[in-house]
Amino acid sequence: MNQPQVSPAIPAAAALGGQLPTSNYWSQQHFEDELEYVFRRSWINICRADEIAKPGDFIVQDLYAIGTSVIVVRGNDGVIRAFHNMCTHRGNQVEVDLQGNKKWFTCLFHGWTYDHEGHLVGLPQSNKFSTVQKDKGGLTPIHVGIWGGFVHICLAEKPPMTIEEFMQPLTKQLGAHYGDQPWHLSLRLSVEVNCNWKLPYDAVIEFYHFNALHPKSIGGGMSMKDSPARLFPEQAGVVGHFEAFYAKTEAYLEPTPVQQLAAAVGASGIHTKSNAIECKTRYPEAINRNKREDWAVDVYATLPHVAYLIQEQSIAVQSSWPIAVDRCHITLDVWTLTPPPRNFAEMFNASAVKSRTADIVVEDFSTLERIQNNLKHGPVRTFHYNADEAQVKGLQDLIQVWIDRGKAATTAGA
Amino acid sequence: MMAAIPEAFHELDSYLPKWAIRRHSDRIKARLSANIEELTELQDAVLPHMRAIIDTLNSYPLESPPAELEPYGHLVLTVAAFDLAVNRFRQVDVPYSYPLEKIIFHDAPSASKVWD
Repeated sequence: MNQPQVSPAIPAAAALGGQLPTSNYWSQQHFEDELEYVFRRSWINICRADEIAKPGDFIVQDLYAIGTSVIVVRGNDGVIRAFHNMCTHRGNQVEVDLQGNKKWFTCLFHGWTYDHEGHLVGLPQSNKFSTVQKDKGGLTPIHVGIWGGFVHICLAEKPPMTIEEFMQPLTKQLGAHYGDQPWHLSLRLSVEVNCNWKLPYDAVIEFYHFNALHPKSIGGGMSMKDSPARLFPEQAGVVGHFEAFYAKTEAYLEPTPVQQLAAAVGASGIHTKSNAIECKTRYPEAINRNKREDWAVDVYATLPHVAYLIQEQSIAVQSSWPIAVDRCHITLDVWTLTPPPRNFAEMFNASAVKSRTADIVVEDFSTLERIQNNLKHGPVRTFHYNADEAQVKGLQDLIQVWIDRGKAATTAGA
Repeated sequence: MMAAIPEAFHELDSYLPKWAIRRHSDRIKARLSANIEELTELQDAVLPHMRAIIDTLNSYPLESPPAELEPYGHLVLTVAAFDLAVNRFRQVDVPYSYPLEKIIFHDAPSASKVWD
């Protein structure tokens, strides 16, 4: 059989790419393995700690195919705890509001009531139960780990590593950059799509697609240039990293009048520089490691399903929640150091950014269902990844490492 | 006392009933059900006044603009929502994209009660 001719001119970085079977995106077995050996053993980013700042503040997050939903609550003692949102009586969801502040969590079915530490503190007609011990009837706790101000949970009975070990390839300074500053939520989008959860994740952890997929939206204003992606060793939960730079590529388009006006009054989002509002990080060593003037963004992919796109004054966090092998729920949060709009000009800028971001997001998502539909019956059974797409392949390689280790541990313990 | 509306703003009054849209999600619906000629005409009319509208509204507290000026603010925000459609895509929706109307916009905790 003829072997493909590989040009010696291909840089060594190309070795970061490679190929993988498409079955990673459509195999039910692989999907189940991902859920069991990766999602249910990883640290899963749920929210920021300052979203539940006061005692009684809580967030409910549906875990979709991963498991139950989870209640994350700050107790009266200030401690953040997490519980399976499953009444120990007959399994109803105890809390159906997605966010709020409550003194107790009361199941709407029969009124069983739990406090912020998960204790069962009330059940009507308790004397009619022969099998319930109130002191053992509390909500099932879930491990909580906080890194960089992001509250994570781990569903494993015993987490395979601490949150610090999980995020270990990322610097302490990056954790401080995330965690020790007054981020505020400036934008939140969500959508459900009929595709494997990895496809929207892939869409944001490589910029190779920019000129082809965003010719008129990003307009040739950013590229990875000469900065290759890097992958981290496989001992933890972080896949890798790459940077992108402001660059007038051959596809460059001048900003529109609206973009120019928005930039004049504030940060214009991930793809354009901010002119007006200066909001320097307290931890400059955490980002732009080569201190380049043209640096735009650092992009990190983490297990199981969260990409971080970090600029000096904003962090975009995209999470891709699996619902089925070919359906997922995607959320995109943009946290900024710039304060909430203080005047109409800043409001205008924020609104322009929101609109532009959504236009770019639907370009990114244009491929998702098309690829998934092709995967069902199409002849292509192998995908190829170049050096700029190293994190896309790296994500799946790391997932496979976790699956293989998990199965080996299960077999050893059997 | 009513705020004085700069005389030049009245050139936009005919656009207010349809395009002074309060919610971003409603702007997207209006964008997708219009045609590009309509959106282009709107931008062409509003753009020369945009800076003045922004500067005028800037002189009032964000959450308590004068009622008579508020529609012009919504008009400016609506034009911002049509930016790439008019200036880059030259069509109301994003070419070849995932349906924009399926994107859900969530209010942030610090969301304005007046503007979106």
